[in-house]
Formats: sequence, structure tokens, C-alpha cells
Amino acid sequence: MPPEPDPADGTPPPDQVELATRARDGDQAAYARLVAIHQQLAFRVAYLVTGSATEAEDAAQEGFVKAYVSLHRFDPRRPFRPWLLTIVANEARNRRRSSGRRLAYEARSIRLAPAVPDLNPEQEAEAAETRRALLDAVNRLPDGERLVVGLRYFLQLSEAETAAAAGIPKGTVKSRLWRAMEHLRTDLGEGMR
Amino acid sequence: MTAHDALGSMLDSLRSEIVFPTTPPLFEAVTDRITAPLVPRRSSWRMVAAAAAAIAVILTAVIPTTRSAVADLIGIGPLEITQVADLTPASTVRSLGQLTTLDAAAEAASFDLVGISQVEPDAVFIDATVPGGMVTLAYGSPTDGWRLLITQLDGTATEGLIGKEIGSGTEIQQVTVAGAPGLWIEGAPHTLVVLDAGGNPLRDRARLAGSTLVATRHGVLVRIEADTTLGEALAVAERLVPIDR
Repeated sequence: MPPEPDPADGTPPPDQVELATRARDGDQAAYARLVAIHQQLAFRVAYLVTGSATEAEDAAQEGFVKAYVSLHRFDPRRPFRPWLLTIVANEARNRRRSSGRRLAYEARSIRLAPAVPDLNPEQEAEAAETRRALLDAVNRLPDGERLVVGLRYFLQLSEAETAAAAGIPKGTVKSRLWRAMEHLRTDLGEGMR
Repeated sequence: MTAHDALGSMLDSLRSEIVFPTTPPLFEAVTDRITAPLVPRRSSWRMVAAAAAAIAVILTAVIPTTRSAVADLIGIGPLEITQVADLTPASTVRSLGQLTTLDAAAEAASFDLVGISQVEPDAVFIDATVPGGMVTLAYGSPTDGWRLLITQLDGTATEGLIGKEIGSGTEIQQVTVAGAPGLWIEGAPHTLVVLDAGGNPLRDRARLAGSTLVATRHGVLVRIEADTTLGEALAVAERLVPIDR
């Protein structure tokens, strides 16, 4: 079954409630569809947490299996995605802890795609430099701040989902984002003041 | 527009250009695994323990040692072991606390609960009088008797202190649990003395007629009580994982 895209705004497709309910009642095919729908996002969340594609794959796979085993605890009246992401992110954090890995972006694991040249070469070079500087600044943020920036802006998770995936209260998401913005503003210099 | 708003817009616009690694074929792997036989949800903890016992025993270095040596070696917090003449007058059995749900306990506790992978407890208790909460996962039944109690609280190497008042018939061994030191306490009824995160001493008599394994798992100070062997207790400890809530 090919993966289905996640909705850009995070709103679950209408049939996900039904799928989750069926899966909770033991319908493996329904759960398989939920996996197909969420696998990309789950993997990316795990990747932001672990900083390693290999560990992210293991964490996401294990998270999906644990979620399946724990379906009896899932309340189908509540959204499935944050519940799943909480489990996947927990698994990813455990793996990061056990490996002693810093929330690592050794190879600048958040990377930019080559820009599409819709500006003149000089403007494009300047825009690319700005993007690069911003991404480098993000990569220099403290772990906790970098994670919430990645989850919130690059994966477009809601505040509640970001909290669930980062394993922190919603209020902490706000405060970390604020601190991250301050750090970015300082890092990027006067141009952002 | 504030500087934060401007940065937010720039980060938003950066999103479409971020390159993530290609998503692996999780769908196939997960489908394969969930269609394989699973561990029964209410499987006996002894069966679960037995499955892992062989590996756990191999990995476990059981080193009989003196009490003072244990105190020196143990790495789960400063350890105080004292010999007492009579346990009975001073040792009382603390209540397990209030019956609750796993969700509520996870919400109330200041730490991430741990439990046996893929095995639900039959009952959950929380003692909210202990700073950070002291949570007990109970396996068995209140009428036929609890077969296994896993009590956990916020106790780390630097924040907690766990001690032990023992009678003359109690044996203590230093053991290794998932690579970390722990204690196996076997024999006569015994009492644990714990200093909680707030520094308050808690005296707690063993509740089950059996032995006790004390260890730190995933940052949580864990006490496993059961009428069982060291190998089985270690197998349970090895299978403790953070509970996803």
C-alpha cells in the first residue's frame, strides 16, 4: 500500500477516527492503513529527536508496534496522531538516551534542497545565503529549542503535538520557542532586530 | 511585524526546502510484526520472566558481598544499611496508596513510570504523600493475593537515598541489572528506608512474603517484590520499559 500524505494542517482525515476505532477492536488492516498514513511523519519526528536516520527508522517501527499493542488504551474519541507521535517520540528519546547521543546534527542533518532559480543569480545567491544562515543558526540552538523549532516549523505540528512529541508541557513549548527566537535573533545579528 | 514574527515567517518558508532522509518502508515492517503472534496482554509475569531469565542470568553478575561493601559499591544512591535488633516495633507496612489508573498515575507522578513491556498491571496505586508520588504496579489480585509488586519513585543517584534495615536472617547480594548495580534482598522480613526527593525518610516493610530487588531502571528507583527467584526478578527488571502515556 503506498503511503498516504499527511494533511498539511494536521487535521485528521475523517476516516481516521473510524480506522482507529476499528484498529482498537482488532482490525489489523485498519491499523495498517494508519501506519501508511502516518509513517512519514512518525519517521521525521523520530529523526528530529535522534538525529540519526537508522535510529529513527528503528524508533518509528518500534513505536508503531508498541502503539498497536497499546491500542486498548487509546481513546478513539481523541485524535490518533498525537497519541501515536507521543509513543514514537518516547521510543526515539529512549534510543537517543541509551546511545548517549546528543540531539545531533553532526552532518547538519536538517539540510536544504537546492533552490529553484526564480531570481536572478545575484538575488538567488543572497537568498540562499540567508536561508543557509538561518538553518545554521537553528542547528546551533540548544537541543530542546532546536527540537521544538523543528517539530513546530519544519513538520508543522500543532502546539499540542509538539508538546507530545517533545515530551514537555504545552507551556514549555511556548517558552522554548520564545527562547529559540531570541537565540536566533541574537545569532543572526542586527539584521533581525 | 516583530522580529519573532519575521523569524517565524522565515522558518515557515524554509520548511519546503528542508531535506529529510527518505522515509523507510515502515509499513511493510510494521505489518509483518503486528501480524506475528503477540505476547498475551495478561500473560503470567512468571511466563514473561521465564522467557527472559536465561539471558538475564547470563548477563547478571551476582557477587555476594558484605553489607559494608555493598554500601560502597552500590551506585543507586548513597546506601545506608544498618543492623537492627528487632524490626517489628518500628517497621510498619505503608499503605500501597490510593487505587488509581495507569493514566492518572502517569499524570500525577513527577517521573516517567516504568512497567513490564507488553504486560498490563492488574492494579495501580499511588501514594501521593510521597513527594513526586510513589507508584505501585500490582500483578495478581487483591483477593487471591498480589504475586508481584513493582514500586517506583523519584530516586536518582544524586537525589535519593535508599537504605535497608535488615534482620540477622536476611541476605543481601549485589547484582547487575541491565548493566547497572542493584540489590537483591532475600530472607527474613525486611524494611526499606528510603529518602524521597524531598529528603524525608520513608520506612516501608516488605509487603510480600518473598524477596526484593532494588535497582534503578530508566532513571526511576524501582523495588520489585515477589516470592520468586533472583533470576525471575532480574528478568522482570530487565523487561521494565518506560510506559507510554
